[in-house]
Amino acid sequence: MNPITNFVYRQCLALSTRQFLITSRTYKSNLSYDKLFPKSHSLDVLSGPIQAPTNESTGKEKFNGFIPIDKLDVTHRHARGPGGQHVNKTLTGVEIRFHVESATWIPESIKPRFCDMNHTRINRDGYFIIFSDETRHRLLNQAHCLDRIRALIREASLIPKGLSDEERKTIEQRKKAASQERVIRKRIQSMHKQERKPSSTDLN
Amino acid sequence: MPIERGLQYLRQMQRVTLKNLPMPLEKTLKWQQAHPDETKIKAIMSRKGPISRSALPPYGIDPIQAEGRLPWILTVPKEPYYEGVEEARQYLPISLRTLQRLIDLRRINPEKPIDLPVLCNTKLFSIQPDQRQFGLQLTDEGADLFSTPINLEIQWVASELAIAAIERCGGVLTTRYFDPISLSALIDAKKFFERGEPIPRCDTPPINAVESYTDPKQRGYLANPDSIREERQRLAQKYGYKLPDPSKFSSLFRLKKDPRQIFYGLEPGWLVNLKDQTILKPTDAKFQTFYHS
Repeated sequence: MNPITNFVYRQCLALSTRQFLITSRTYKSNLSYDKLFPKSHSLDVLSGPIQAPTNESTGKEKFNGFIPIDKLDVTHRHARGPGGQHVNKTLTGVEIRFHVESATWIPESIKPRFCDMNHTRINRDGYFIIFSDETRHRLLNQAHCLDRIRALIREASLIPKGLSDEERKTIEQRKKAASQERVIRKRIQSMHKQERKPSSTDLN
Repeated sequence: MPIERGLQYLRQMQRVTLKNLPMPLEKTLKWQQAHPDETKIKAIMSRKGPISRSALPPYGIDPIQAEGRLPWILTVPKEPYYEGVEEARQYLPISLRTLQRLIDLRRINPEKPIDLPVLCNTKLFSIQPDQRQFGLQLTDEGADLFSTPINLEIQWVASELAIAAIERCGGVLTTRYFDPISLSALIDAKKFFERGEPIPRCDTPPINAVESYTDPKQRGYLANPDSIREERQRLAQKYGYKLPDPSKFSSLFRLKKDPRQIFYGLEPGWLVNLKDQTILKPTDAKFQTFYHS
């Protein structure tokens, strides 16, 4: 069988690249995306529903992890340490500031404890300042700053559990027992020392 | 053998042969050779060598047949740190710095999707499929300098910083696998079309690569788009940038190849005739089922 007769001879017009790419000549094989992921909410990578939080948690709820980057003041500064011309010329240090009181993305229940724990980082005007120059890349330093902010918020949100009644009882019991033993030891020791002294009763 | 016992055997046994009777073995020559005497062994053994000096090699190595030399299996050295080097896939590096430079010098158009043939046409990379090279990988040098939104298709990404640098500027990144035959078509597309072969159908990745090409963290082309969206949001929050509005993207940014497709706009099975400016397409059912499978 002549293989040429199996093919169809088709004229290809001189189309521009943009038209060529967009015209509805969508090729779909057995491995196309609608067959691989039939249950996905949206096959588009850019737009579609997301489970992760995309909006900040309003003041009263728990911190959901979302930090609105627009509300942070990010400045690039000179980094410290060795590195020659690169560290002197490029601004790889990242400083992040935000006003704590007006930050709606931190829950109100955490704010007083947060301010208390990080009072050294908050200046007189009420701005929380954090600076990072750990790496040579600005992006990585920015990530480092944000990571520390998240860790500090989490530390402030953790309230210590405290001791339960049973635990308090056992601690008191142990204290009592220890003090009683100590008193017994003291008395024995003092007896030893008294026996060394010459006694008032004469053995005549 | 005592006479009484012998007669007893004759009475009780059904058949009496030399092999049946429990007589002490006659020490044939064959038996003597297999069981040498201690004195005989000492006479045979050399006064020197590993046996006489109690310095035998580990099990599996015959000291007598080695004849004083190291056996072959010990002469060839072992280099365990190079294990798997013949099967390992190689990817040539391209940094974000070179990408930005090519865009600034207008050797690459950032408005169109940037693909392997686009990057190979700059003639900066010589990819050799027969040397176990499977394409290009993105490195994170120049992450702070990069500032153009692009639709990039690369074969491997090693660092999260590189992905974040592209998505921060509003770009899209996918990692895509090409088998060696498809790769040779992509590296020099014009030469491939001049060869007169139909466009190949791309194979699925090998088993040790499937995990990374289905991983949303690597932006693999076989990963679930829902997970990729989650990862984009996660990176945006981690590195501190805002993802751009999806409605502002042109349709070229959403363009994605089918897993079997190699060239944008061309299907596997088609034959491109550059001289006559035509494309020939197969009509036979078996070809169509093959190229659409």
